[in-house]
Amino acid sequence: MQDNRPPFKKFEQRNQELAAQYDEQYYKKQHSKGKLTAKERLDILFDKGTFEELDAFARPAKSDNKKGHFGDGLICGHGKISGRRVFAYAQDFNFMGGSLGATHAQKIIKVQEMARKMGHPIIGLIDSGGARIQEGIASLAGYAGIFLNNIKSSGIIPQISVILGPAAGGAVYSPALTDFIFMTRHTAQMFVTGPEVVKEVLNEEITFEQLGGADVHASKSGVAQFVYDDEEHTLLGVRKLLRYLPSNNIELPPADKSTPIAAPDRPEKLSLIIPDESIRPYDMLEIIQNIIDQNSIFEVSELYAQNIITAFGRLNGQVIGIVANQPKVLAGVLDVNSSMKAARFVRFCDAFNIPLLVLEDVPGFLPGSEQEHLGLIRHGAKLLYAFGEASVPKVTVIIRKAYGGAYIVMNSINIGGDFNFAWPTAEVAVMGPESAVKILNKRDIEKAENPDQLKVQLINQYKEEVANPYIADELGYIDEVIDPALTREKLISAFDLLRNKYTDKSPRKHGNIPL
Amino acid sequence: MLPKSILIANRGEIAIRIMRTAKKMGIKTFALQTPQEANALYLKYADEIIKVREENLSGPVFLNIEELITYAKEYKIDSIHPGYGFLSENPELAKRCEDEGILFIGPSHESIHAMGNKNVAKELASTINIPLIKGSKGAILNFQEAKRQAAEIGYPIMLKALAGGGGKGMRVVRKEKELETAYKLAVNEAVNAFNNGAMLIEKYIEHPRHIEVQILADKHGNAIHLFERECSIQRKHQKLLEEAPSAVLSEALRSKMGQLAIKLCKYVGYSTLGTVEFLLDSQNNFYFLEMNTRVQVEHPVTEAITGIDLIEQQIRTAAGEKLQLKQSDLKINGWAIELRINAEDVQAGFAPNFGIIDEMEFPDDVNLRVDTGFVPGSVIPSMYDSMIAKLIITGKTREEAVENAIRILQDSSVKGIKTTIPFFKATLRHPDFVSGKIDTSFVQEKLDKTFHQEHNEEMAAAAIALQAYLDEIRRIEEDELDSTNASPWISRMLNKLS
Amino acid sequence: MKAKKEKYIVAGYQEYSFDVKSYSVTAKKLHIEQAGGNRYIASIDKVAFQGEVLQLKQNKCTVLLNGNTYTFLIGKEETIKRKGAYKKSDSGSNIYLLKAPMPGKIVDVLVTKGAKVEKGEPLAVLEAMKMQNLLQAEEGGTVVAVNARVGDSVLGDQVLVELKID
Repeated sequence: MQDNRPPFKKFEQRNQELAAQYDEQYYKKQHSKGKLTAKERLDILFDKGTFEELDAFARPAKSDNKKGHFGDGLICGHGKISGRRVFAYAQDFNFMGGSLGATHAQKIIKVQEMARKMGHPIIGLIDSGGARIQEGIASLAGYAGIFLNNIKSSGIIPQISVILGPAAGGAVYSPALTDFIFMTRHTAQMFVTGPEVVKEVLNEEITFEQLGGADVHASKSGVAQFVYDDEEHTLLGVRKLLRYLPSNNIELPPADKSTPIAAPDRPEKLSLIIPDESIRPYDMLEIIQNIIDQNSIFEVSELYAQNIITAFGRLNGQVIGIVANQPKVLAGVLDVNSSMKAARFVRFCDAFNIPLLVLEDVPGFLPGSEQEHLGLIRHGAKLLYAFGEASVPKVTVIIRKAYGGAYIVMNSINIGGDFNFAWPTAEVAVMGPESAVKILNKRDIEKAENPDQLKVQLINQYKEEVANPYIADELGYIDEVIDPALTREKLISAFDLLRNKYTDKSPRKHGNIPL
Repeated sequence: MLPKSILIANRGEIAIRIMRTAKKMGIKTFALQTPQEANALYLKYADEIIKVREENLSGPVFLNIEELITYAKEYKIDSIHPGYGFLSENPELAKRCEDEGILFIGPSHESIHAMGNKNVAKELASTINIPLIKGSKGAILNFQEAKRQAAEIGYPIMLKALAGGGGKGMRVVRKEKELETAYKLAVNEAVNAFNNGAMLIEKYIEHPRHIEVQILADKHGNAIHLFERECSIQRKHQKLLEEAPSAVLSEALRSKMGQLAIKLCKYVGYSTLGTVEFLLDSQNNFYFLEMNTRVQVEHPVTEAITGIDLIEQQIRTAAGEKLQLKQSDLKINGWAIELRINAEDVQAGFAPNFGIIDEMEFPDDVNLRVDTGFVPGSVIPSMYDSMIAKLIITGKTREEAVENAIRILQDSSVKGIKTTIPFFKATLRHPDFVSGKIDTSFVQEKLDKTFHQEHNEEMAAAAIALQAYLDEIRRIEEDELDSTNASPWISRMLNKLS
Repeated sequence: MKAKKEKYIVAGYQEYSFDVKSYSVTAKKLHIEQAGGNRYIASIDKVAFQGEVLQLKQNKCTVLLNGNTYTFLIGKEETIKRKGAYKKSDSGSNIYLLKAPMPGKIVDVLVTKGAKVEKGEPLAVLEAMKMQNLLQAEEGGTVVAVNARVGDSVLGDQVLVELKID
């Protein structure tokens, strides 16, 4: 504004001082490390010109730094993403290494509380050296305040953490409490204890990347659900994710009217993808892509526990959460990691009104002492609990195998699945033919003249009579055996029926999900 | 007397090929329907389909002699045609047919037995002074024997399965320390493909040309040859491209090799179709390799240049008819090239590319004949070979045939799986191929890129990739979402509370 | 995205550089249009190429054109320049994965967990299309996991053996 009167001149001057903070040096500092500045990141994240900063002039609690003294190393505010309002905060590594001081934390807490009050998602862009040692316990108190807000907002608004630099020690717990973590390769690392201390205490030599880099967390620990090669793509990934999510837990996921609905063009292909021999693997992603809207799939935790697929997608324009066994990895068995990955995804979808589609081809749980000692019992139960508890529409299509306990866990009707369809290739049984025959006909095989031939005969007989969907169908445990080419139509119809689904819940503080 | 009915003990394009001719001759055709290929194209060409009883089988029905005989007897079928591969060179099948009074469309079981054993075949050939490559004596049944004979012959050597072909069980070994691994792998392949792990060893000739002569003989001592085919474009000893005639044979050499082939047939009392294989070295010396006692995959190129229906001749001579054709009747008319379109990814070392054929289009061209066992929508079964179609292209001269082939491939498209089409595009344009300077090392050594790229092709693909990427980015950056509705859950919850 | 021109690098067998303005590839003598679904037509020097996008994930795109598939890595020129600044030496993975080059059946597994192997040493034998393929280690190291057993049917790219590189 052009007004030379003193109050307005002072206002102008202050704005100019703030702008002067973001000079060429500011950008060069981050760029020389291969990173973007907090300002640039927010620019990419939000719709053009919609970001409004709050508390830009906040001063650090202990301020002896003349330059860069506005903001306390944190830019926070709100803007629009795809036309919807979102809150965000971005740590600024250029100021004291983005470390968390009392003011810095206060700003974060402010936007967290606003986001929860107003019902908009909140995104944290993390790039910080950790607690600001100079401010001592005040820093820790700041973290605690942030964590508490993460917890209070959990299940009310989507919370996303984007790790674009270091996040160590206590700083990792806020992301850990949020719904999704994004990481950028090479520049982002997360760990509770850094390599130097690890070397001191345990004498273990390990680099930053090897200890807590993006790939480690995407594929080994499962802590990060999304990894990208660079920051631009990471931030675009956040935008992409938000297109599937409602702004808060009262809303339904958004419709996307600007993209025309494109159904897959060859549904006849579906039945051909399944190999003739039951032991042969195939790619479940191909099945998914021939059922849901074209190009609408967005995988979550793609590189972790690859024996199960968790993904968002659209079916006739409506957002759904997909949980599907992947036969080409570990034969699609359920194990500790896949149970946890799927359980977390299911509970997120339940919290945010996203209907669930389950595509099942599971031969059972992974046997062996390793799994048992890791607590397969506890972790497998997580997925069972998650499905049972979820009150969103839940539809299962049994593609091929559905054996034993795993069949129950994968959203069967009896634990609350709303619809269970099956393909003609489905095998619903207590156990597979080979194991069943070994147990049921043990004596006959032992006494037989030609045990191998009898075994093959009995296995084939079992395959004919038991390993099919018809017994379950006749008993009502499957609603309908369907022509694979008609899967999409059946599902659209089922989800349409379930649109206004409501289930009563007995009041309780909360259940005790096995952890 | 011609058979009234015929059982095709095979599948895919060759089953269709045989049934076409059988129909033309008024013979009733029977085909076998397996559960793995219950919807196969070849079944549509049969007069009657026999459903195979898989429960009794441990392997494919096409390898089960007793089952085939049982079906023939059950359905009262006069004759069995084995096609190529499977049991076509198994003397047991021929013998069982002979025992049961079923006409076997092929030579006598003694001929198959003799020619089927490469060592025996070579002995017979050398008896009538057909030149041979230095090779091993007797069947090699263990590694020690292999090592000994290889050392005697001198490296480089070629390990070969005694009982088979098609590149399976074959390995070139240049140094003794490579022999053990090569032997183990070759034997495994041979056992899996032919149920027989016996090997033989030959001196390996560098840069040979593979020339084979098609012969036809009746059961009355008459035999003719139908000129040669050159099959030097191979990869790992499997033929990819065949042509008739060969660009390198002079009339004299052609006649000499043809006459020797006929001599061999008459000497062993051979009847029906057969192929005598030779290797030609860089000095145009030829050496007998082996004899195939069946119809070959590449027989269409011979049919194209001679105008003869080889399957028809095969059936007639098998049935005991006298050869109506005389050597003087036969003339080479034009040129023919066959391209084996396999479901392989030539950008990834020819890795098999199973899947579903979404689209398969070949142009309507008077110079093109397409033999295929698949249609769009077919699944390529992983238990058989990867060939999905044969393109047989003709021309008045070799140059014309090559030009026609290039043009036809330009208008051909297969989608859903990768094929060897880009490989043929590259081969047909290679100056050495165009000038006929080829040998069996062509693919390995001369073709530096196994797939052809048009000028600017990759740039076009890159631009498309970028545009698709930008379209996605635009969607993420610009498209606005509509406002959302309150979920019914919350409204019902609120109703409950109030 | 700003309306100004930006340079993009698309890397396949070769690297290509394109100018982009307002989400459109702009280049002399190059014209691209959408042809329905995932199909595009690109004309260079008046020669038309019809291509199909088989997969687009993040910054990786696979295109089928003239029977050949091309996989490209896409990035903005300025981003690539900026990424050059960080140390590549600290790369996270010291694990080598032996993947099945094609679908088939495992007929022999030549190593066990804990075995030390040299670069080039054979690890397994894969049978496909009746041919036996010897799969060799491209790096030397210690076997940390064997995910395949004799008799297993495997898909292309399936991880068979994991090595910790020395």
